[in-house]
Amino acid sequence: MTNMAAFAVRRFLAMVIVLYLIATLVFLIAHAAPVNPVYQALDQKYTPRAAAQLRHEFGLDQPLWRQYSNYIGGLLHGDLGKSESRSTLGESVSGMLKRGVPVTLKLGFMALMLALVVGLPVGLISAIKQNSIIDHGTQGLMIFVYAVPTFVLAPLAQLVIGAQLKWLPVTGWGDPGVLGYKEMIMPVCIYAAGLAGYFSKSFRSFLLEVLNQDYIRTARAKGLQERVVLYTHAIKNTLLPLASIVGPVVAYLITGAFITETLFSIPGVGNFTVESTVNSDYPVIEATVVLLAAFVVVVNFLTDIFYALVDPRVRL
Amino acid sequence: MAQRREELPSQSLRRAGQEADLGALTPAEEEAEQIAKTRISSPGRDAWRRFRKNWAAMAALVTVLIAFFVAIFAPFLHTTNTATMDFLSLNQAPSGAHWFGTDNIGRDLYSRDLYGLRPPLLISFIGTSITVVLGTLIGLVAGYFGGMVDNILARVTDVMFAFPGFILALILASFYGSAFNFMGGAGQALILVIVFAIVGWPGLMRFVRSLSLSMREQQFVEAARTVGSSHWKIISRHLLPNMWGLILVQASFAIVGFIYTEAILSLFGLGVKEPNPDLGKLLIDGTAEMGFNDAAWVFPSLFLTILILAFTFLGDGIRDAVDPRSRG
Repeated sequence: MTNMAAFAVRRFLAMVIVLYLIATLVFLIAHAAPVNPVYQALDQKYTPRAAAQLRHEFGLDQPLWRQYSNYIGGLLHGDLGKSESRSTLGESVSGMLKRGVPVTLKLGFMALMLALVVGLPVGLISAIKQNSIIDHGTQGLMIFVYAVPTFVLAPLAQLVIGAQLKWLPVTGWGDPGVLGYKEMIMPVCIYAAGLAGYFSKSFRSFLLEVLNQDYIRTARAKGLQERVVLYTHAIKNTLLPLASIVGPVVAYLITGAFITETLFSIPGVGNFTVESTVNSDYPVIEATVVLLAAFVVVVNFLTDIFYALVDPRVRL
Repeated sequence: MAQRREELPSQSLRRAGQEADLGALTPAEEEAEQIAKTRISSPGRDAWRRFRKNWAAMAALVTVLIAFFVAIFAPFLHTTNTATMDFLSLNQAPSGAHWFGTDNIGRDLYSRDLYGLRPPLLISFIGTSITVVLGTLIGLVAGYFGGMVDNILARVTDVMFAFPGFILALILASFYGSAFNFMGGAGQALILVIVFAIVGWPGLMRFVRSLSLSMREQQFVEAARTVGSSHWKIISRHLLPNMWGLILVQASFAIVGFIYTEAILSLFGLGVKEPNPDLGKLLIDGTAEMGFNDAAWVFPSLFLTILILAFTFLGDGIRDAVDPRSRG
């Protein structure tokens, strides 16, 4: 167990360094950019005096190293600064994140669950019935929903299901009551479609690979029921490769929701991140990018630890 | 590549024979030559033979070639200037004069959709080329030499890889997009190319690195080292020829990702700027007319979907051809 602990510590230190470098990189990218956030925030009301005042308020008049140490210090204390853009001027970034993150996570996890619930059984059936009509039909459909981009699927669904059939609301998220759930159905399904296709395609090929192994032939040869062979021998051995594709999907769950959020006007992280990039809102961009990168890095760290626990060879 | 070297002596011999006027080959010789020719097989030729039998992959290849053809020869295929506004025919349905209809300021959508193919194809193609060159080069060096070099390069790549690529693309395009506002829209395309190259290489580098790490230990590399081949020769003659197929697979999936990202950046208003046509932009503008001018969003959606499907099937086809065992 000691080398497991050593492995975990080593990976943890690497994670911290990566996070620090990402935070620095974001700061540099934002501050080297040839745009003037103060000018954009004031727009029509721009006067040199107002600009100087705003500059001072946000600490933009301080030397760069000072701004950098303020920024890193703030990150360490969980103080993410205040929004510099016009519509949300002065609002604390952590407040915005607290509103946005739960929405995005809810959307993402519901889509992930739906994709797993649909994708895995479909992959299982088409692997068992390999090269049958069922296999070709379902896999064709799954490749289609996987490859058709969200920004094509979403407007189509909004037009047909939302505007013409009027079964579901076209946009929006989380109004109280029944309408709230109705609003969630379309974005969750659209987001899940691509993931379901990906999962079913991958699960089918993992399963086929395992079913070709010698120990499956042995299990069949000694007269085990096909059900037992499938569920206790085959599926168990697909779990590790399956984890290797679900892990990254979880890591990119928030970033993946950007398009869905924008198209359905869902008030999640994606929505205001996009808005803040358009408005050159430094603190919001720095905070969200660092947060999203941290999410990716932490999930990857947990995936690595999970791997090391299951497969001892990784620890070396 | 190794194969071509082996062919050379026989070819030069034959040429020498012809020059010396030794007469035509006898039927037996011709037959022997035929057999020799058919028996010559290289990984590339085998892969191509398998690829040709895969109808989905061939259809994808043809589609991709047609798309590039249309994009390159758009000036000869379009009907109206893409910027000409005809205020007497706004939001028209497809007709003889305007094959795909017109948009809300009366521009011909057929011509705009044709030219709209250019940014996604151009940007993703150049972006992928840079990604492939950078990723392969750095991956090979790190994987082949190992040790300190590998340690430094792998850590740098880890940082870049952990950075959510899409977000990096988003902030780079939004911060630096306005600074590249030159050459009539080509500047915006340039920033996207740079962004995609920066975002793309770490993934490919890790892939190539792991390939060369495993290949370095194999016997043919050991043999090459034993006979005193230089590092450069081992990399170019032994490692690369065994890798390029798998790299090509990654490249076609990278193109899919870049076409996708380019369209999304257009959706957020960070892509190629007006009045330059771009499929993603046309699609988003078209959805505003949804319900009463459906041709405006149907055709860009169709083209984008076909492009993405074609490159996906192309990648799948190349993978099946290069590495038949991976076939599901």
